Amino acid sequence: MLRGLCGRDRIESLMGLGRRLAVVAALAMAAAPMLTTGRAGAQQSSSAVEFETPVVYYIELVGRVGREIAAKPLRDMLDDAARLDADYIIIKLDNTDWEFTDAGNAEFDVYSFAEEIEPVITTEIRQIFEEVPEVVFWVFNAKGGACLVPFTGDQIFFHPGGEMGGIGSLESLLDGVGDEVVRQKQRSLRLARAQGIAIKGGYDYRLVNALAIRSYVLSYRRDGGRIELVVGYDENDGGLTLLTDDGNRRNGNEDTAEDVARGRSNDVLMLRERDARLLGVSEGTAEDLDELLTQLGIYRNYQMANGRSEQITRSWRRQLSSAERRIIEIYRELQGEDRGRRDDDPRKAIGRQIRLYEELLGMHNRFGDAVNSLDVQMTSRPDLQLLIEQARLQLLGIVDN
Amino acid sequence: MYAKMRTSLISAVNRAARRGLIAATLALAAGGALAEDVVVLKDGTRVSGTITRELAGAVWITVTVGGIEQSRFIAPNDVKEIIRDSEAAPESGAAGEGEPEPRALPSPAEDEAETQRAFAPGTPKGIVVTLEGGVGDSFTAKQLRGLVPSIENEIGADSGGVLVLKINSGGGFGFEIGRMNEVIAELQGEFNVFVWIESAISAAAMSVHGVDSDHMIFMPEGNYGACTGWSGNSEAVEGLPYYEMVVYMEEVSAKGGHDPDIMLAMQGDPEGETPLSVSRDAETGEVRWYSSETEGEYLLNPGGEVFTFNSQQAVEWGFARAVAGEMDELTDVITEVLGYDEIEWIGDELPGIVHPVSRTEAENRRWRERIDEENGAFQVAVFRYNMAANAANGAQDEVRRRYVGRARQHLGRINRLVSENPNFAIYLPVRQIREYNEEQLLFAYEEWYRAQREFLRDLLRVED
Repeated sequence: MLRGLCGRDRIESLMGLGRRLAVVAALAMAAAPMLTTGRAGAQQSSSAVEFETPVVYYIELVGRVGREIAAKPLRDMLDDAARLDADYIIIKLDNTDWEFTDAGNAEFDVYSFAEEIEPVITTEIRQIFEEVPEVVFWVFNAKGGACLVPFTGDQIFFHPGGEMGGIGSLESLLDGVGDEVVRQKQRSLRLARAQGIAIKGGYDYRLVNALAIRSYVLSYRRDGGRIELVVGYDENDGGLTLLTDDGNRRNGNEDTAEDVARGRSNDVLMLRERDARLLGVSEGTAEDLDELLTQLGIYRNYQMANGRSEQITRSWRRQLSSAERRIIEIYRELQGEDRGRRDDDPRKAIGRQIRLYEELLGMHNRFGDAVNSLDVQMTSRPDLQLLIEQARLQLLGIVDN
Repeated sequence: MYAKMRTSLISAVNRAARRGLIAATLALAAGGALAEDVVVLKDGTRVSGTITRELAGAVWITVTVGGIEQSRFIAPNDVKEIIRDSEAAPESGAAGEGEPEPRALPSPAEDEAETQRAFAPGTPKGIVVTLEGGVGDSFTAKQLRGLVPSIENEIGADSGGVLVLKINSGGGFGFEIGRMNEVIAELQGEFNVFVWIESAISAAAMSVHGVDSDHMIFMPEGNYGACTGWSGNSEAVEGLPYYEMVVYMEEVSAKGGHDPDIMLAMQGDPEGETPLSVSRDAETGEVRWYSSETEGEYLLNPGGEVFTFNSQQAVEWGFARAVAGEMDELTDVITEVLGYDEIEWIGDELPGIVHPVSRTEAENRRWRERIDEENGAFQVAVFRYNMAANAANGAQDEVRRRYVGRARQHLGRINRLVSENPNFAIYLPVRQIREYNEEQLLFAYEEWYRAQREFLRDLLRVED
């Protein structure tokens, strides 16, 4: 079995949904639903849900991982969804920071972004919702840092062009740093943590191995209607289909640039809609939101929550941009303090410096890890603390004549 | 069973909700004004109804819309003010308005009474205590041992109580491993000790490795291993210290009934390979481990790599008893191992925490938060001390005196923090010590501290 090993209890969730749908059906007998959007069964919910029908809250996580796609705005959106009593949270995931490095793979450590998102979706959500909604990921691009994020939800659907992967560089992680056995330790613990994300979501951890490890060979066998994953591949076994080979150049197995460009690379796993469906990762493929709602079985009866996810995204982007502008100003001011204004009262000049450093520290507090994704190089928190202490010592060193 | 406790709490909430409904109905019948609680949200919205439950700042309020009663949950971050007018008391004894802490302290008397009613007299009690953070920092034997009186108070000391140690740590100092194994052995003499693995990496795994497989339970995301010792710039511990740790962990493995090859594969070998494979006897089901890539039927760790269990592997190969993500699953496993019908878990359910939080655990969490804060403060104090001392060394006259004064302030802070947690001294350039016991560490620290004071005094003396 590929699924259902440790997944959440979906039966309970479906029973809850069934009850809600029963209420909807009864209401529908009495009066035809008011259609306020172009969607067949959609009712636009106002600030609060007025009667019980599945409420869908739609989020678009589009952009760069760690920047536009970050835990903080997602938290705000979930708060908003809780205010609207959402039953389904559909998250379109489309990260654009994907770059072809190392034959199509990002540094493995970027996987850990899923560890930032996972507690928001699995733990914090319980704190803000009285009845936990179904979290559905709709994968357009889930690559590099976004690769494991869909595993944190309850269900995954793919867009026809959807792809999930791009972390197949575990074996080269920390190359050249320290002793080999310590590098192996670091790779081992990271792989186990990444596997844990998949296992917790109810998926087979061997898929993570295939996503992460170039030399890992994985194939599958059809057994009736069921797919069985097999580690390794035997050419003589006609029942096996190869998913990933060992990527070994000497065996002629290394992907070429053309393989990568044509989407037929198999040194590491890149999940596309067909394989994702076959392997039980994806519940289905949906071209547009209506198709997704149909596959979720709620197209005829649902309310599209009039949420603020778009505003939250816009506001977050504005905040990031304005932070970038302000950071540039601060650095210019600091350079000015260094160069020009020494003829002022030096105490005042140093005091200004300290205030500017503290403002930069405040940016770290406000944006968390997202500061690392800003388009302007930011001084690290420890370095800022050092600079502040240095400035304070300078103040102490001023002697009045 | 845990499920019973949950049911009793839920029904209590429902009862309160019904009380609210009855109160509302009576008020309507009398034609009088309806007594209502009002929750004022931060965005200015006022939600009127009957508060049925409060916990850690979160509010459950029953509102009536178009004659239909709905229960609504309001997150702590959204609450600006609560105006109480209803006669129906909130179910939880949480403080309500102006709560100083985001998480309410457990153990209101009503909840305890509610919980007790669901269990037959003599039902074994259980408690979950978390071990998190850096081993040797906020994951220490001293802290765990210090909690024992409180644990005894909550679950008794008659060997029937269940103590679950929930582990979530990325490792830490090797010197704490022996102490942890000792204290857990002591606890096993008094309680039924289980470990619940969320993440046990390196020193964290080695600290609980003396617990046998029947008492080892993984969370779905759980991991356990990667026990390679290292220091400095990712340099592996090798030579005698490496082999001493290998030998010690063989003893710990024997105590836990684990094959020593498992831990060896987790430790790795700086000068060789530590493969691990495994087979299961088709008839007896017996699992056999091999320090070889090929002898066992299934290869878990290729020779040149370091091994870490995930939850599925740990259970599949009998290293752990089961996977449990929630308390009811955990309860099922433990009752099966111990032959109990049910366990009365002590503590309150708090939002976002998977297990009940007892008084002991609440105290444990407070301590850990303080240590984590102090750890941060300690690093800052050391860093500031070094800067001020260096500046003093390069300055003269009045400025030197000021810098020395500043350095002394930071040194005083360092000293206060080490006196509270001697393990902090490990971060200082103290003399290398062979045995990392607290006494030796403090002795080495005192040498360092004296030397720093003399250095600062000498700076002023040179000037004079």
